[in-house]
Amino acid sequence: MKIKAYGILKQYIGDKDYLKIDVPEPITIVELFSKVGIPEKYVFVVEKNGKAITKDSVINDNDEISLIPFISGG
Amino acid sequence: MKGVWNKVLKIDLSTKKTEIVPVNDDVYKKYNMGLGIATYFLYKETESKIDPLGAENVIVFSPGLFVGTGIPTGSKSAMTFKSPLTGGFGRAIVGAYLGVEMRKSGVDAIIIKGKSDKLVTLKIDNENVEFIDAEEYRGIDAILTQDKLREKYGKTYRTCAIGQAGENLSKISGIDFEERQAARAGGGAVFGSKNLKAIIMKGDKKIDFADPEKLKELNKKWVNIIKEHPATKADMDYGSGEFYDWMNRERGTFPSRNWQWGYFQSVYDNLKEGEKSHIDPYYWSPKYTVRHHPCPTCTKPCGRIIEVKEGKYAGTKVDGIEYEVLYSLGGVLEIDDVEAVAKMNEICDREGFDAISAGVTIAWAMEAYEKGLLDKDKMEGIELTFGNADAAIEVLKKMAKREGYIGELLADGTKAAAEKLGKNSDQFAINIKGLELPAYDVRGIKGMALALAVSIRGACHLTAGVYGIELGGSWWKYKGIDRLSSDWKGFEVKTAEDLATTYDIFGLCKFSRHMYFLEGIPELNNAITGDDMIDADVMTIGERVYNLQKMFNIREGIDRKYDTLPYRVTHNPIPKGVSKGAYVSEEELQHMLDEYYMARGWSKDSTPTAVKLASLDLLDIVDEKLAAGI
Ligand code: SF4
Repeated sequence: MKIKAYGILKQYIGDKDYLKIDVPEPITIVELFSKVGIPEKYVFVVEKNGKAITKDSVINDNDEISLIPFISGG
Repeated sequence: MKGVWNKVLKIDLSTKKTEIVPVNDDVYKKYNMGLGIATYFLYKETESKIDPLGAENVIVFSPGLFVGTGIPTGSKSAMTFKSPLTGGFGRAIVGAYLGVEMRKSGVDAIIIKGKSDKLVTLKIDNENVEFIDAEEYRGIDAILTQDKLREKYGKTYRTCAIGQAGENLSKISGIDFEERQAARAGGGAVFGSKNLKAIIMKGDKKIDFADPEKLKELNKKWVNIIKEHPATKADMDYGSGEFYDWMNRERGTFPSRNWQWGYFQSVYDNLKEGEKSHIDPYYWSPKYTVRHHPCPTCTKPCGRIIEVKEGKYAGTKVDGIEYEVLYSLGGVLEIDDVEAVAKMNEICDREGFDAISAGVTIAWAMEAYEKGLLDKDKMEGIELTFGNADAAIEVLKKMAKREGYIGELLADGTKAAAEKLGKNSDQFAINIKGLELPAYDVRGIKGMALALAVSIRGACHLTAGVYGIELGGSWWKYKGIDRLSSDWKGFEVKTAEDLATTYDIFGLCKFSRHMYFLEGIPELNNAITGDDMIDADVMTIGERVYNLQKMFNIREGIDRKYDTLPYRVTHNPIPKGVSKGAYVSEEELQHMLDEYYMARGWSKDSTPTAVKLASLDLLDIVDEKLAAGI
């Protein structure tokens, strides 16, 4: 699974453009957070393959997940 | 009513006379403070069709109700005037320490009219005004002027001033408040036209709160909520540009190269895995930040002073760099050298330019230059091509002085420049009603396109501020928003405008609206004033003030015809990146406008109906003849 993270969340994927992990069984987003060590409260929007999903959605190894923090704006 | 002074101070620069005018409680109940009474008095004190740069134009300045109360991020004051840039309602909101002094001064607003015969500084102690000759500061930059004034009169005075751009009546000039700007819509030129160089102010009275204990308790609560909020750390560490990389890469809606692109791809060209582009605050903020630079009583300061210590731009020190400036002096100029962006930001602040408008105007000139439309013989050797930071710096300085062919051409923004140049250059002039667009490529954020098209002061991102709703898909009570759809955007924008307007009335920073939302406001208001407002009352005040601003524009003849989008947004799809192919067709725009006016209770030509004005209790100030039938 490819995980992209932006802003303040990037540090949790090692400050890289994306992190690749193996997810042999489908898991929920909340399970993904604990697997990777991402504090849930910092995540505002989760997207699967470019579409917003809820945190209890189930995801698979071939999904691309984007994690977006809160935006205060400019 | 508690928490206000029930008085405003009128200052006539022509006669050098001042007057304290009593204001009764009804006015505060209807309009509250800040943008509320600043809108009310501007409407009342001006006639239609006045010259924005004439003595008859009026400047109103009022701090929001929460300013000076200790409420965290209750920082903002409002300035209103007839805009010389748009010809309509002019508004600028600023985190001003001068506003805090005014809250302690015994008056709730100052109303300035007339024109001084010489350049003047207003020195205001509580309600007493002195008119001080300011000729010695002519040509001196806005920040240095304030430093000198504080040196001379004492550091307890809080200040604002204009730079050369304002003195030279540039329609894209603003007013600097100790390195925070009331930037947009040309207020600097209105100061300049009145020969008003600066204001310094000091107050020493205590505001009488209805329930001081409750207010203290609420302040403590909000300090904690803000401290614990997940956005706070990012805002404080990286500032308002914190989400830039996501906007660019993941949304493809960061306008660059004068909106030829919505994705600034070249910033990533030479980067290795994990490296950050140089205009990304995650790259530059740790490297250049000297200290935080908060607005008054802000406990989550996004503002920072940065300093460039080495290299070509060594010595540059500026409050920044805001997200908007990463765009206006970075992306649209195709410049990713953050030190050059900082330098231009510093020039804009010192000369007194609105950094959004100034940058977007230079971007227009770069495109015109590359297309061969500018007269190269008159360019004094300046190669004004995209990416050429030194050329942009030289041009900025010339604009402040209106110097030479290029300085004069660009000094009043893109609309005036394109009109002067002709040759279809208006097709790449990025403005609405004359005001240059902010850092959201609205071709891929259609609700935001509507918000900019209808915004009272021209292309303003904070009038509705729906970018978070659109880009994140949900926020507060909003759910399931599709940024690429043009359906059902009218109500979204209308309610967001009303809510955002309340923030400018109460003086709350909009970068904390995901903390206070609507629900945080009434109890704070009630602890200050002794009123018993509920959420719905707050929204009604926002809607009332918004409609009165709209009536100001209607009185000027600014109706549906002016609610447009730049040609580039309606005709040139985003060519690359995640939002490739997106644009807003003319039909989509008209469809969104219809929906919006219906949601507002306005007519098809965008005039508020008499029914709407009556329901907002505005027919005592607005002439019913100006209203529409149903
Ligand atoms: S968040 Fe930023 S803009 Fe808002 S009050 Fe604080 S310092 Fe000022």
